[in-house]
Amino acid sequence: MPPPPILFILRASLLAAALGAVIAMLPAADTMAADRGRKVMSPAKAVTKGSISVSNPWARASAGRAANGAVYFTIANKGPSADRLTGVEAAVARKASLHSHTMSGGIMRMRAVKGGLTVAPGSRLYFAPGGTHVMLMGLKAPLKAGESFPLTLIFQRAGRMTLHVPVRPIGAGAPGPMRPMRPMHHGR
Amino acid sequence: MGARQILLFSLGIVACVAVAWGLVTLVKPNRGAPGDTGSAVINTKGADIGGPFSLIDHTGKRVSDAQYRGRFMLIFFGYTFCPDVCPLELQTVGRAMDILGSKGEKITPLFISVDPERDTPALLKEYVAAFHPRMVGLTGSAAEIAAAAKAFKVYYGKPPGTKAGTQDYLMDHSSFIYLVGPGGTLRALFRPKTSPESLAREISRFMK
Repeated sequence: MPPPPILFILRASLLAAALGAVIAMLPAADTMAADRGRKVMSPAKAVTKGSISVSNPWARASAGRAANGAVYFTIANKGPSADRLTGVEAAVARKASLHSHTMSGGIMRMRAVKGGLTVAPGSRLYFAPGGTHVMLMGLKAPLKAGESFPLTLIFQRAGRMTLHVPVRPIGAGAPGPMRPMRPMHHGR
Repeated sequence: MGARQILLFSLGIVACVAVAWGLVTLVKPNRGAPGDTGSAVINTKGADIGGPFSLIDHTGKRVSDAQYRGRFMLIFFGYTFCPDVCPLELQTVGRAMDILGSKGEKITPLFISVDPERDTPALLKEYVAAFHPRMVGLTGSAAEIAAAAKAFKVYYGKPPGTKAGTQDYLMDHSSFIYLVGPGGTLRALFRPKTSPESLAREISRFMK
């Protein structure tokens, strides 16, 4: 005896629901694929020293002869103790320093980070456009897409770590602001 | 399989696809493209933003807002010594212009310097070229820049504690993106850190 029609309809409906879900996800998948395309595809491995791992370093190419630039990366503390990023050195500029933005009333204020940045155990610090970044002041030469330059980070515990920072072109090459993983406090 | 079964089966599929689609669309957070911090558009109803300006463009020519009547203007105020926010926002503007395609051709992207002391036409020329071929850089005397900023209710200034006489100063400044219509009135105000895709979408909406 053939299975009752209701079972057939049930099975077909489940299949259709799955199909529908897949179809509905396609626009999202497109966005996700675009996300991946926009994420920095750094060919370099993360630089690790002790518990600290620094990944995805990049800088945007200079616009014309713009004197200042910024470097971005992600710091992960995989150890049980907090560490502190206390300094940064870059031969490509007269001065390199840690800066962060606060925004209130639509006004962007960039301020030097005083006293360094704590990286809590088991956590990550994201340096991204519009947020915390290493500011390069007084570039000795414009940063050119395709080149790379060394940047040294100084940690209280992990000590000195040198990254090789690739320069990405303005436009398609340079990613935009990172989507915050936790709600960011923008003073409004 | 009888005709009735086929009908039931088809209705079942249609119903399930509809339900699945509805669930995924409604339950999925309305996040837009990555980098969005929420709605890109700021409600400007009643706000008296925008007005005439007389400035020098990056070729050294005197221009006024009247020059752009009949076209849209997409304006960002910043300075070339800005290490992070200005390149980010101008990059977003440039990409949005490209995404807009033929609609983008009706828009002139303008970069108005809040740092006329250092931003000369020559410096601006190279700077804006990096972001979009049709981007215009504008500078002028301190008074002319002040007037333009006032018209657009733009805040700008050296941070407190800046040493007098230093050439290395940074600047605090409003970071909105302004869309002005062909008649010269403000159409929309966009937040910084908007993705190029969202910006293009919203601009398109306000161009109708």
